[in-house]
Amino acid sequence: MTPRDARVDAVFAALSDPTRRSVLGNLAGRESASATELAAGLPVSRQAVVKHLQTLGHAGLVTPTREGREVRYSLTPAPLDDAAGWMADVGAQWDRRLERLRHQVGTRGR
Amino acid sequence: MMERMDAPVERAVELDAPPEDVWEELADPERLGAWMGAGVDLEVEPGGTGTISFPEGETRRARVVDVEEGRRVSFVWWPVAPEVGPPTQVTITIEPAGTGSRLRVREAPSARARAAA
Repeated sequence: MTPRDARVDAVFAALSDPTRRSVLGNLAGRESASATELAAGLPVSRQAVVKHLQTLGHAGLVTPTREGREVRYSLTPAPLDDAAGWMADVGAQWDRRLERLRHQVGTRGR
Repeated sequence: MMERMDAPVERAVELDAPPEDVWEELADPERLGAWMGAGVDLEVEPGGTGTISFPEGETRRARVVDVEEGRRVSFVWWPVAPEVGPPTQVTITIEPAGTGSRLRVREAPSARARAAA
C-alpha cells in the first residue's frame, strides 16, 4: 500500500455521489466555473454545490482559485489516474490469486 | 464512466470442482493462504477477525462481515503495515457452473469498509 491508496479512497468517496459526478462533468467542459454557474445547471442549491465542491477539493479533483470576489473552480483530473491505477493494481493482484486458485483446485485429489 | 463506485474491481474464474469443494478453499485458512499468496490467520465466520501477511512484508487486518456457508464470504481488510491505505471490502461468491463452479471476486473501497475498519 502506498500513500496513493489513501488518495484513491477519497476519490472513490467523492465519486460515489451522482451530484458530484455531475459537477465534475460540468467542469470537464470548461476552463473554470463558479459555484453559482454550476448550480444553475443542477437541481440543487448553490450552498449544496459549494459543499460538493469542498468534497471534490478534498479528493484533489477540483482546484479553487479566487478571482476578485468570487471563487472559481477547475477540474484537476490527476487523481482519476490514481484511481484507475489502483483499480489496475488490485485487478492484477486478483488475477494472480485466481490463477493460483485454479491450479490449486485442479491439482487437488478428487 | 464507472457506474458502480462501490464495486470498482471485479474478477471471475471458472473452476473444475463443485462449489462445496471450492468453499473449502475459502473456509480453510491454510488453503486460503496458499492461493492468496499470504499467511492467513482468519476465522471465516461472521465477526471473525485476523491477519493476512504477504511475503513482500505487507500486513493487513481483516474482519469477516458476512458469511453464507458454501456460497459467499465478505470481509473488510486494511493495511496496518507498512503504510495506511484505504480499507476495502472484498466479497467472494461461489456458484455452480456446468460440472464445476464459478467464483467471483469484488473489491471496493466503501463507506461500509471504512466504518468497519
